[in-house]
Amino acid sequence: MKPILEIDAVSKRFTRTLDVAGRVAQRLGAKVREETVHAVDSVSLTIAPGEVVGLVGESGCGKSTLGRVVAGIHSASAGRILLDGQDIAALTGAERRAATLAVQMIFQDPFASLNPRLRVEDIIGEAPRVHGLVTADALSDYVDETMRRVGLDPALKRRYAHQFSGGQRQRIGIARALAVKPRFLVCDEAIAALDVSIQAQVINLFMDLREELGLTYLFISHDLSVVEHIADSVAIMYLGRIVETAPTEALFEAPRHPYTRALLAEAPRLDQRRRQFEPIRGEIPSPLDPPPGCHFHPRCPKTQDICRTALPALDPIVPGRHAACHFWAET
Amino acid sequence: MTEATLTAPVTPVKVETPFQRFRAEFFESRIATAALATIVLIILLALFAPWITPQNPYDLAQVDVMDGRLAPGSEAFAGYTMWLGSDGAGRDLFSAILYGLRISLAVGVASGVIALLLGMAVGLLAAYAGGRLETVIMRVVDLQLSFPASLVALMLIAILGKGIENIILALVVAQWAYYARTVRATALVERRKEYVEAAACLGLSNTRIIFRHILPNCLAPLIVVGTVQVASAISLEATLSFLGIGLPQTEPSLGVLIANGFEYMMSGRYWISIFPGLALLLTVVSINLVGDHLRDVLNPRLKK
Repeated sequence: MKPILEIDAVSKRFTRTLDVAGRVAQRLGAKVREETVHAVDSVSLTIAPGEVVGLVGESGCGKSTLGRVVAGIHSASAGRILLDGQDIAALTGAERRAATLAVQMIFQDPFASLNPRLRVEDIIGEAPRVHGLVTADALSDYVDETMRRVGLDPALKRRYAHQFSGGQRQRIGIARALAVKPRFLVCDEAIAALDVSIQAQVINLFMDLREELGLTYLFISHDLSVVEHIADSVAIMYLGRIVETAPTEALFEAPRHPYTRALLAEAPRLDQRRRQFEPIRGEIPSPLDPPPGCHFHPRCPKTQDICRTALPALDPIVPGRHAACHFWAET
Repeated sequence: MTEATLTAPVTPVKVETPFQRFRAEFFESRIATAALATIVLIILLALFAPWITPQNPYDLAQVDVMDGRLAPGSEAFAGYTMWLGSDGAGRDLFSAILYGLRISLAVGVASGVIALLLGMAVGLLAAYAGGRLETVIMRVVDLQLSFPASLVALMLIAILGKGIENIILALVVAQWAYYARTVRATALVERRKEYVEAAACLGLSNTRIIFRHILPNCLAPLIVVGTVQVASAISLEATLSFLGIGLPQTEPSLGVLIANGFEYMMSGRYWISIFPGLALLLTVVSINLVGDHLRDVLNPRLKK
């Protein structure tokens, strides 16, 4: 099947340039320099229509940045985002707008992600009205319909966001995204800030919407059990790079990359509640100054000399399955 | 339990807007309520001065020099009582104060509003444009704020000359930087929030994001700064007028009145300076009290 969205060698760098004082200090021999963070480092990923891809990694690994690049909030420093085979950044005019609206994002913080000064009807209705997706007369009904779709009572549409609970606010955020008829949703830790009981409801809502509207998801999470539950395939990120991609079942049965294996081993499970956990050695290195070669080598139990110098490619193991480790075959 | 809840079993869900909540919190403080009432009273007195005062103190036909320097409570030649006395030219001080308030308030509010709009535009531009433009703007702001406001105003008046427009211009120049700094700081915080990212993701234009999403969320600190700055504009204008470089005698603000009475202070005719001074004090203190309380109510970190 033709992919709906392709992430093609996308990098995102954040550079802090020196101000005048910094440049003067540098001239005088102080050890200040421009700092560049490689938040996302040449990541490629292909997503088929209707698929749910889980993007998993520790905090600071660049998964949220990648999500924001996909959603068009950040522009990529290098690489392309292709929607239906077309580079979104190269489009102009109406096509560009259609592509922008086709990819929407659900945010982590249901409090910061809604404008506190707007009523719910404006939060949901603004974009469709501005883009002329509905006429002014039909807007009210359209907002009602969108609210019902995400399980909100349209009678509450005159309220402000702060008058809702966390779960309801997340539904408002989902309604806002759905109102522009997207085909692809980037969910950035969309349930992480919710109570566990509410998490299940919101996940079910996502899955219902997928069936009803034929949505495709990039589901960013650090919670392996959630990803195992809903994702068709999983990509594991470590320090700006994807280290392993695989269909969900295959990944959870037989992880190939040492980092994936360590992550899975540490996920709490009911049947292992008595065992002692052995955390991955060390800290995640600073993305300001990543280690050479394989980024994981300072923490990896299988480090060899080659790991310290050569960057492992994301090798295909079987179709749909890749691992970026020099020694994936031995494990 | 209140009666309302007992007698009204089916009450519709009460939708409390942020404004209603803010209003309730504001009126919890008696001092702020009293100060606000005083401001409203002062504004009303100033607005309706021609219908309240016994004379128009600047209509020479109504002023009798025989009434000059009468003590408070004396009877004027025209028959009314001068409750606050009269000044050297025979003007009823109560009338003169109300007419002076009109000018002081007008100058303070006009310069405050113009400075607010200017500072807001510059601050938003700095926050949204970033880069070199932001650096230039904010260094200008720093430079401006490193001079005392009265010094800036003095220099400008020296260059421009007297007159109500020039005073307003000088006050705007002396004060826009406070607004610019406040707006920029708030806008920088707001534009990093996820709702702004969501708006960008929804393909909304930059203008729309700035004015409909970021700006309304920057208003709370701006209102606080604005209130305090209007009070300081009024007292700055009074200072300039008292020094004789502010408003001319033909447009007598409170500062001019205080200056006029100053020479009589040592001869025991205290009322000519003191009463306009008290009116100024009451006005500025009331505005500042309201401003301070607004800051407390609008500051999310002090929320109960």
